[in-house]
Amino acid sequence: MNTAALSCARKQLEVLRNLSAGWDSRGGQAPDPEIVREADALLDEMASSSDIPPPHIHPTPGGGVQFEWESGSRYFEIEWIDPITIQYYYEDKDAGDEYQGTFKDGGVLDGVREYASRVGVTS
Amino acid sequence: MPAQPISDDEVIYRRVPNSAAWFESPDRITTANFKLDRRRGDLGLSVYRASIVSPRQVLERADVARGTRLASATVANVRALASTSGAFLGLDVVAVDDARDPGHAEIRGPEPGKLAPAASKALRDLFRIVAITFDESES
Repeated sequence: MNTAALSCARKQLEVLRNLSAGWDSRGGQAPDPEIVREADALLDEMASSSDIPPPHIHPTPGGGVQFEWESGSRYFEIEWIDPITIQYYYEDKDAGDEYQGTFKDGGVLDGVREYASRVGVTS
Repeated sequence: MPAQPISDDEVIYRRVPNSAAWFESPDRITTANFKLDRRRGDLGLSVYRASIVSPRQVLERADVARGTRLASATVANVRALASTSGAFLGLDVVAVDDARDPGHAEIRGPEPGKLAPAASKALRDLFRIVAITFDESES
């Protein structure tokens, strides 16, 4: 991920960090500061990997954060359910493939690298 | 009293927060818009029935943030959704309205309170942003 993409991703996380409860007009919770810190730390790790494209970054209603990669028929997302639990989902519509699960300790960056590089450049 | 059944041909609206703050393309919808708040114990995703409330009524409630958009789908298409691998998702749309929240309904999975990532993704792909033009005669 290049410097400009990392800078943009950091700005997005900063926006999330400052969201108030109810940001989604449905009573959604403000992002958990600890989850935002974990997401920021993963961005740092991703920055050193040129094969990981920059993600779309979104808050989730339960106070989580998710990163998304999407290109054509391929899609990959990771969602922090809590500071130590990251759920992932990958699909390739053309191939009819989908995988989901939870990343365990230490396997997040490798998992992101594997699936996000399958998706390629986000669109 | 049992809930009023919702027919397949009904159209439902889902509110979509303005994505500008997240540096997104304006027409892109994220799967995060189709996820439950687990901590609050949501049973389903809030939607509104077009047969009961207008787009304006859905968007002009006091608690709706400025710039919020609407996305729509038909109930039949929600109920028919399958995952990318072809597995039937078993989603339903049920009425949960009351006098304070007319037209309110929820999209629920086979197990209320849980929604698989594949279901969130399928819903995101199904719903389309509604281009809203308010008719002056509409109150």
